[in-house]
Amino acid sequence: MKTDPTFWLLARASGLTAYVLLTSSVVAGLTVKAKPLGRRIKAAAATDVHRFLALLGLGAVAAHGLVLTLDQTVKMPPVGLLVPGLSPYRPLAVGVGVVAAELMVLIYASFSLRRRIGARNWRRLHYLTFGVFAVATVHGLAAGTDRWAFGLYAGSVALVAGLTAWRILMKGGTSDVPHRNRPVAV
Amino acid sequence: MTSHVARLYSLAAAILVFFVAWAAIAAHPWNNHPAAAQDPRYAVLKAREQRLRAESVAVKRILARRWAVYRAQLALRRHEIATIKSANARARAASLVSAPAAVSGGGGGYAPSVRVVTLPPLTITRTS
Amino acid sequence: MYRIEIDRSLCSGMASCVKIAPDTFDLDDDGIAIVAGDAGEGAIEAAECCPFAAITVFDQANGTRIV
Repeated sequence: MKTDPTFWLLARASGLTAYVLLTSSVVAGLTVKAKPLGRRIKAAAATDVHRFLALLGLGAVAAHGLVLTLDQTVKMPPVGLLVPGLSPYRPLAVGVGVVAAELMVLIYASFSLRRRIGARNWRRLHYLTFGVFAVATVHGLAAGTDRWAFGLYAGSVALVAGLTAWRILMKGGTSDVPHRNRPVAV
Repeated sequence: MTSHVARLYSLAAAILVFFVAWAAIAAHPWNNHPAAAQDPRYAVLKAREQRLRAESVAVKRILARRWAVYRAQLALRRHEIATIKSANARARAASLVSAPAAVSGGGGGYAPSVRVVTLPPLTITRTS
Repeated sequence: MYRIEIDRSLCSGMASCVKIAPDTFDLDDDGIAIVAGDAGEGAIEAAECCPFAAITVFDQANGTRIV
């Protein structure tokens, strides 16, 4: 007699949705400066979409965690959503996901706090988003049960890597901006 | 600068992605639990299902053959009956021509003979 | 010919403006953009490419807003 798999299916659907939203947010963030489509996309609009997609991604992650605690087969304790490693099902893979989610919350909140931490520190912290994306990919592949979605993970990684390469090449290799006190190469 | 149109499109796309993902996941039931694939009862059920399918194909073939045989025999029998009936009718017609007094018993004795007469009216009606 | 205003509460130090018009814009010690020189045609493109729409460009002659 099988138990109702609805929560299990919803957990997987919300997890995949969260990953798609995270990928879209990262792509939008890269588009702000890299501009692969040229002047057609306004930088300010791309920034707004980037933030909004990140917020939607956070919502999907929250739903993902909440639904997992409701599932009767995995029996995830609510505290396991906050402390990595407490899940009875594949603790390492799920713990990695918890870490990714918490980093995502941290980075989203950091935008509101950029006055306090300073604009430069905020920009450096924001590079952590690539780490979040990598960790989320690992979590999806290791803890997920949807091996058929492998193409989705591969495509997302390729897209992010491609756009990142484009951005690095477009900027001429330097990620620092010229500052008055620093010598500027002419 | 908030771009409300882009936000709405993003929200709609996110909802769409969620439901498509849910449908796609629900359509792959064998990925639900890795343990289910190794369940021995599952293998037995699959084998039984295949046997039943093969059986039903064989049964259908046999039935079709028997039906064809039956239909051929039915057609033959109907043809026989029609032949005899027409023979009876011809015999009756022949006996009527030779004996207009219409006594029954003509023909093969299968159908009763019929005599048509005009009887006087049972009632007389007068207007007003 | 242009007057530039930078909203410091919106700026996050992305420095797109510095990259487009390094003669006009620069980052201060806090990492926030400031006007460091004369405003040329690059100022308009910089204002359009600011990810947080923190730059406003006015026509210096009649004060109308351009970006």
